[in-house]
Amino acid sequence: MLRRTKPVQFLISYKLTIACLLWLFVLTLWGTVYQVNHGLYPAQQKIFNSWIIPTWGFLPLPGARTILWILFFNLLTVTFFRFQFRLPKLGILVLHLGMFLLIFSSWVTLHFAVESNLTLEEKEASNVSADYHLWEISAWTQSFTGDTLLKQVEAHDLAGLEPGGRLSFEQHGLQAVLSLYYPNCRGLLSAAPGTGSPPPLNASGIRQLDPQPASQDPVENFPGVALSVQIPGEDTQNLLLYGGEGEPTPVVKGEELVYFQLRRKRYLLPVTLGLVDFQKEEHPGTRMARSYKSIVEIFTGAVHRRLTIYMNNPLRVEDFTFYQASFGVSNEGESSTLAVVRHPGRLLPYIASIVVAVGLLIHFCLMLWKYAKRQNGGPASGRGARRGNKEGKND
Amino acid sequence: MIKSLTPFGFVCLLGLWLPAFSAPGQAPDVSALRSMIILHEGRQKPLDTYARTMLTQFSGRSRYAGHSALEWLAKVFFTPEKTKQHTIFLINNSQTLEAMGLEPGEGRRYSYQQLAPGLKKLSEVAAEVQKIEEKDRNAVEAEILRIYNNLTQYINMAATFQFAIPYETFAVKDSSLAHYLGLEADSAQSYYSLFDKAGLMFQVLDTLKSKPSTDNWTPLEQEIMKLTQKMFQWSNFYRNIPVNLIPMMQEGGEVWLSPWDALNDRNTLSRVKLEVDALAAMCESYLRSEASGVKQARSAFETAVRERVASDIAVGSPNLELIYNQVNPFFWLKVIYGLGALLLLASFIGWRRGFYFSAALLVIAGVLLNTAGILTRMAIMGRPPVTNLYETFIFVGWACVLLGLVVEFFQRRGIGLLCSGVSGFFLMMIAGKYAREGDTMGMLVAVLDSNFWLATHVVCITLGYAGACAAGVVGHVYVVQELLRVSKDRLRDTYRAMYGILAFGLVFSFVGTVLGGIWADQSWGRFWGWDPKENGALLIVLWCAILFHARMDGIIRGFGFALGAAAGIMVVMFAWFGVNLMGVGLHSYGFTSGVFYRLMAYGSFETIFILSAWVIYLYRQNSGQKTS
Repeated sequence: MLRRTKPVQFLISYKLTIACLLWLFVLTLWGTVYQVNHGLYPAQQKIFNSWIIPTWGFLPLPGARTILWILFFNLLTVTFFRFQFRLPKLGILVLHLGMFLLIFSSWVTLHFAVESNLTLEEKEASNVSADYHLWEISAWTQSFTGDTLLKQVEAHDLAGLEPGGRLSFEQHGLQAVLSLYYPNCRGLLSAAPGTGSPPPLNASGIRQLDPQPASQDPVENFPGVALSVQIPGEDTQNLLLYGGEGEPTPVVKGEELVYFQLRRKRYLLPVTLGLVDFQKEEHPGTRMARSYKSIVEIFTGAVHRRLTIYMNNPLRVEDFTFYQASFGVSNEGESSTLAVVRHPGRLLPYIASIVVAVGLLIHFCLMLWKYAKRQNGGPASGRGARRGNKEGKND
Repeated sequence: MIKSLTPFGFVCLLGLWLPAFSAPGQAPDVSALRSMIILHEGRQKPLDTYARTMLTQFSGRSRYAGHSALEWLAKVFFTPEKTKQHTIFLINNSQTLEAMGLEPGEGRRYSYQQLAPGLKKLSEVAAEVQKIEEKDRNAVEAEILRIYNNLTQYINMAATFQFAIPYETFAVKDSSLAHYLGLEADSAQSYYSLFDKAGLMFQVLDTLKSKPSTDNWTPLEQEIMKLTQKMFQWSNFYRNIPVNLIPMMQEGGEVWLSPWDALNDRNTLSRVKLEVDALAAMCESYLRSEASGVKQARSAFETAVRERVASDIAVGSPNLELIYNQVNPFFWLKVIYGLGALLLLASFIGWRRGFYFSAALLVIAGVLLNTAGILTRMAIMGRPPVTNLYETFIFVGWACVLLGLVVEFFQRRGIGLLCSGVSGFFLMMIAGKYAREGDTMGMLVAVLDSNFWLATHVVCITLGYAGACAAGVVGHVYVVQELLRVSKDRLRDTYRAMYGILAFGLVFSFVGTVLGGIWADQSWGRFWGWDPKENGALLIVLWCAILFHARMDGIIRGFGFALGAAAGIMVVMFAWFGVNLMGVGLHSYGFTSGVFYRLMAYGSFETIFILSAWVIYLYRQNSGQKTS
């Protein structure tokens, strides 16, 4: 009875499947061409990860996210109301179950996977990675234990902050008010004329922030903020922080220094990773890299072990995976950049792929068996011809 | 990498290519040099391959004036002056000549002598073009860089053996000096023959320190000074000639040197003196037209190399590659498949049995040769069959032919054979165009250097391309049959072939795409990133899925399915190398030039074909004419 209702009829229709696949085809083509002039990240945001794509200022078109959800429900209802649960259809059923899992895994990836990167110079170690796009305002105190620099860090994500917002750094007993925020700007070393107040604190000597149009690719944006830091028992300190500067700005609080920095958002890693050596091998007589690898030491508690990360051979620790992404060469030596991905659902696409493969294999074997029976003049041969099976028949 | 030659450098080279004193009347047999190993673009290859690659790259042909590429290369090495008039530089765009300040001549191939007056301008323009991103260069700019690159490589090749060619400029005029050096007086000498006497010359030069005024110098001393100054000029100029014949181990690892690299560093020369001596002897023998001398010198060179580096460097054995070069299978496959397709078409007109079996034999022979060619390349490179764009064409061509043969085995209607012949012919033709871009057995970037993924993901994807392409070819046949109103039985068989092949294509495209996602997860940390090449593969999967679902629902029937399959070829072309034109994404290793217009032309033709067929079909339907 439920099958005959209009919503279910709509959801199980082939036409809906075809329309979604067709629109997904158009979006894939559109998104591919869009990347040429705008880059991958804007294409992902506008077309592939969006619900609605505003076009020509007024026309809302469904984005890939919408289509994939519709396909998901289409597949779900087809499974319950249309699929024939018979042996000959087993392969198709399993195949579509695998498709389910693939769509589901894409949802998990979108919501739970976090990508960042870790750049280490030789003999350097770290237990934090940096986001590609997101920023944070961080404050820390630091001390040395032997050769190791220890930082006590508190951070607030820049996303969602607005001028006037209050930031509390409880561990360091400080409060701050965000008085200015530019998503993209330049730091100027000279102040605008007529500003009589004392210059704000900044480690690089930046006196003013010059707002710039935001680039579509967030990697190219360098934000800037102005903070008023309230130190108990002392005057308020005005800070200018710029994302394009490498040095933190120190603020005196009693006997200690508290460092402030606007930096790429950091993620704590489950291990400390140290780069022992970066090795690059080129094809002889060329500048083309044949292989490059990072020999790293990972420290977990008192235990440390050495291993190698190279192309197609990442390091996996808990939910984190470290991939050899890039490298750098400078006067100080070589550095290695590892891509760090935290993805608790990493295995889902693999499981989905296996399920699809099993479904294909079952379907192929069943088709082969059916064909062999037909060739031998078995019952299937006559039955298939009389019913006018659509598949393989030109009608 | 383009070597930057200053205008002054060009002029010097022009001036230095003086007629050799004892050029040979007839070039000797140089077949002994075929197996000599050179390191080029990161790969050890026989000189035969190097010669073919360079000549093809310059001129688009693998022979010149009836001579083999190796014979041409030997002339460039040992008698460069004689090759200045060889019209070997193919120029595709006449605007390139205008950019060089030259007038277009007859024909598309030019000699170095014709292009030399424009070299200075060319180097200036090329320097500017180099600053433009590759994907932003137009056709003329790309051509300018290609010509500049070719000319630079030619100049380097011509400079390789300059050290061993006798020139009047090094003739020892003074008889007492000649006697002192143990050379023939007033006779052209090579740089190397004087280099060998450097010790003697420096003994004299040492004594000149006590004679600051040149007025007190003897004629012998003056001539020694002139000769050493010329030698010094040459040693300063002939540097970084990247024609790498001599392997050796250094601190950083394996390096391959040109003779000039060895001559310009005394420590290095002391280690490879025997090899340099052998190369000089090779040149001298060639100039005396002594084939046996060339062969002897070649053996001496090889013996010296193997004895010195045997334990450190694996110098390959090129025999298989030489056979491959000799047979040149993928050139002949164009002919075989094309002829097979023509014979098959002829069988539809008359003498069916004879033409049909001839076509079948040709196509079967072709696929066997194709298989042998692919396996040989795998053995030479030690890699799976598909690692670059060229190899995708020969592999997809092979798979299409095989698919057609399978269909023909079951149906015996000729459709399968036609599909094999047509797709094999066109794909080998396209492969031939890509062969002109350089060595087709190149080295891989680090991320691609994984035999497992190359054997799985890449093979599956290319099989998917093959299935979609072959189905598209059969789709064209179906459309034509439908419009010609052939019998229902034939139409049904064609439909089944098309359906089955497209299903094959869908399965392998899908599996290949998934495997690609797994590889991406292993390399870059994400299963799917909407990279253009990933999107291209997804487009094929989506297109096939749309067709099958539309067919199942009855939205389209046989004719609509055939039109869709035909259009599927455009989708495959976009995914295959259309995305490379964009120059973005992690897969832009397969960037090619000059493909855009051909793709557009093909797309236009295909669109016109599909629309016309559809219009005719609709007209017939509306006018009540019988259709399938």
